[in-house]
Amino acid sequence: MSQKIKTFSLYFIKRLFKRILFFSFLILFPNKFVLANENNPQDYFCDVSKSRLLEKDVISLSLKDKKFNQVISEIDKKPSNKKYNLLVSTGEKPSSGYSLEFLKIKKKKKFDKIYFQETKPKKNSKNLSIITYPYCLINLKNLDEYKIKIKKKRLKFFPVSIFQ
Amino acid sequence: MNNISKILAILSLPLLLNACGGGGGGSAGGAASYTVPSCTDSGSAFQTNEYYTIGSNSGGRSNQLELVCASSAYARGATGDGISIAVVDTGGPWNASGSLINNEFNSDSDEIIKPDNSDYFNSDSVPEDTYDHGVGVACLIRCDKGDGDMHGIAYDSTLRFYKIFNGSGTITSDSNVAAALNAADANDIINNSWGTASNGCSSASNCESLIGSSTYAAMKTATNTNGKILVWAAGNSGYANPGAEAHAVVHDTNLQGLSVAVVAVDSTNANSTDGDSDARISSFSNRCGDAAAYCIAAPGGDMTTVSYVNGQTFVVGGGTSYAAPLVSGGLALIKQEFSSLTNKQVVNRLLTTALDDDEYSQSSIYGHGLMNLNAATTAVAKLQTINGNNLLDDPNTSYNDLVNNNFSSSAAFSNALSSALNGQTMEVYDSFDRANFDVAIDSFFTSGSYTSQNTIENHMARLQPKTMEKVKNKTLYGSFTVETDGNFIGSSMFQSAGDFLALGFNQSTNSFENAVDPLSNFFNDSNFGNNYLVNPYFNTGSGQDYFMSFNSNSSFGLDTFTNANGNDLGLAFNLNPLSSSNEGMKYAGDLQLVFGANYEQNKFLNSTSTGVFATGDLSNTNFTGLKYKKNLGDDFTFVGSGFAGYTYIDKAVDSYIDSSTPLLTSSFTLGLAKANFLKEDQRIGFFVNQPQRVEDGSLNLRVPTSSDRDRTVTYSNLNVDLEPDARQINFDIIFNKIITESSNLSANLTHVRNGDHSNESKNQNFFSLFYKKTF
Repeated sequence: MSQKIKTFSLYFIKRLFKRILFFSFLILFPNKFVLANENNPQDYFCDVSKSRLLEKDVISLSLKDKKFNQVISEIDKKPSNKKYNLLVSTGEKPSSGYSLEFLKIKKKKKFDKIYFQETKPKKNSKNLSIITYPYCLINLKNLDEYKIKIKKKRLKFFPVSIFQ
Repeated sequence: MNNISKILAILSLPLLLNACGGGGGGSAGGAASYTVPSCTDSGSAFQTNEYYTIGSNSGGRSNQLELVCASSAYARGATGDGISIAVVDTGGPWNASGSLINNEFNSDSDEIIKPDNSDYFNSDSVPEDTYDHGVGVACLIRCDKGDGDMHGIAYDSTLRFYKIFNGSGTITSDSNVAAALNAADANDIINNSWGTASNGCSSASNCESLIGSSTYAAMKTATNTNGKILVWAAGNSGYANPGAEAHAVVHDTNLQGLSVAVVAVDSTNANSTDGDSDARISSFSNRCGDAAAYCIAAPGGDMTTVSYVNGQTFVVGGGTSYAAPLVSGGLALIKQEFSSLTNKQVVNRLLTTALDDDEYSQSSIYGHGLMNLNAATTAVAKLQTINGNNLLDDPNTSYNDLVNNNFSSSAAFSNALSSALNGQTMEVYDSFDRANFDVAIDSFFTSGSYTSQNTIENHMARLQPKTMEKVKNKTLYGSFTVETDGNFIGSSMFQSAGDFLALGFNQSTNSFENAVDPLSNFFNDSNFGNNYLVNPYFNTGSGQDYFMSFNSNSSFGLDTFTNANGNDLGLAFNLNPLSSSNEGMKYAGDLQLVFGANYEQNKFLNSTSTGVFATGDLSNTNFTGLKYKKNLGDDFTFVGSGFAGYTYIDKAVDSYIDSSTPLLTSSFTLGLAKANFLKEDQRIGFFVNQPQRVEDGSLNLRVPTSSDRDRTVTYSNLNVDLEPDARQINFDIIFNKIITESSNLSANLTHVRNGDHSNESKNQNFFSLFYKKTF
């Protein structure tokens, strides 16, 4: 009986340890963990522009749009040796401290969903008083099969976001 | 169901509140009853392609400088030269090794400065702009002028960079920011295109809490201790009030007067479809709110500026980040333009002169209104001269409106005075804040002119025969007699045989002219230029002069004059050792020797002056003269006169005429007349005349020429040699023929050389014919 209890308790301890290990991994390496299990695009580049890239209320522009190449050519900071076919932007932000990051791609029935995360500065934080336009450039296959989703988070002192 | 309604109502409350909050912005844009005024951008010579950011790299036209009328300030010489501005931001136009990498800042390395240890994020001395913000802000202040593309608003100012943000746009610690601000106090103006994203702050302690105690203390040190100007971007959250740093001025007197909040309006930019391009408040901009008294608007939406990337890439963007540097630069222009203003007065002038009509009258949005550099660099109130004191704000210092300061100079030296004052300037002061303005000194001076009356009409009038309605032997005062000629005393002590006393108002008793008969009845020496034969020291020209002459036995006499209010006095003693008017002395010479003095109140040599150019109560001229006439046979008559005098100018209290040497003046006339010329009843005369001229003497003007931030005035001495550069000579030929008893023909040819004693005057020539027939 005591042996059984001991075996059970060891089993639960082992299981608990595995879970702790699993969650610790999630906490410490969230992006890597997610991306490792999703459809990772070949290339992406995220930055913040001080000029408007897309018209108001438009969040993305793909290679299929006529303006795409012109808009892309005006982005100076992008790596010159990369090619992209999708531009995603959060639109106008009131200061520095905002950013956009590529998170993951989730497969759905009809469309795959591309997840981005918009980061906001801390409340009452000090920032540069410039209008910014956070954006990401991505190179994806099969542009028609994606939907774009932007999640928001505010920077906290704790380095892990609620979203993850 | 009822509970669900309540829940829905509660849930919808934030939406309703949000909707209310958004109304602030809507009210600005939707205030259709307001029109958007504009200032007058008058400096056309400075409205270049660069002014409008039109360049091969910078793109299409932007009106970001035009909206604040910067060219008007440039036209007045304000470029920011000598004024230093701190850019407390993300760094400047250098790479990590400290090399300048942006050609918009390479015109003068002395004016683009990275102070030691100015990277407060990385604790080094290379504040490179890895976020690409500080460079854009700095460009709006001081991008080079003259290299194409665009230039900053204060393109000749000096910039120092202090880096407090890193490449991710994250600010350094509170203590580091404070250290940066303390270091930035080395500059005149500190630009801050950053701030806390808050809707104002509720009290000084709340402000301090939001801002950080060290930073807050540094702000107060900058303003209250060091007297520096802090310029703050109001923030871009569309709030009703500026962010905490810009709003703190409302709650803390230590900041008041030197801390300026800046909201943004939309400019028009050909390279962008952003914003409304309507010069109204940008949709993103925080409003001035209850900081209106310390707040101003400037273009911040749809702006062109330079980017850190690739050295000289230009971008179009927005934010109160870009409005603040325009105001910092505007303050630099004002500060440079007016060296007499303290920093508080510079700020006050900026705020007071803002465009605040119509749309901009909404103070809760725009505060004082839209920055207007045309108005800020012109007089706000009356311009005035200072009374000679050195302290602008001293209770004993008095001021005179410009119109009350003038000097109307005699033609005897006006040419010399004009030449000496040409291009010379002095300072006058705006009664609003005693801002110093340079004005041309000669703008206060009016040049007298002998030749101004040399018109053909007056030349013709010379030949009109005199009306001789003499009343002889009219007995006055017992045995004295007087002769009148119309309204003029026709008799003179020179001509009269007996004793006489002449009294008159607005009359000329100096009748030596009458003694030159037969010339006098065919030549009126009046109206045309200077009189040839009269005593010039008694020619006060006021038209309100009283004269008295006394003559005794043709051997001596007295001439006196005083003007209507008795301020000017003159006395001449005449000796007549020879007189042809006595019986049997027909061919004898007529000689009169004159000695005299005159005293002129607040003028000298008939040059009037007021205000800071006033002269004292008793300027004195001592003069002597000689008149001579001799009949050379039956037909020829020689006449001549000459006068010389010494004038001592009386210095008035507070007058800019500080001292002078005695002025030596001279004048002369020589003439020859012949009767029975060619035929009987033909007469001809020839005259050579030099009007009164200063031969020697000078004035020393002590005029205010500069003033400092400590409100002291410096005066400079300007020595003015009053001797003209040439000598005016008039040549006259007069011909007269009596055709019949009732008809008369006269002709006069006049040549005037070096008019008004100036070698730059064109010679004048006049010819008149006059025929008179009495029916």
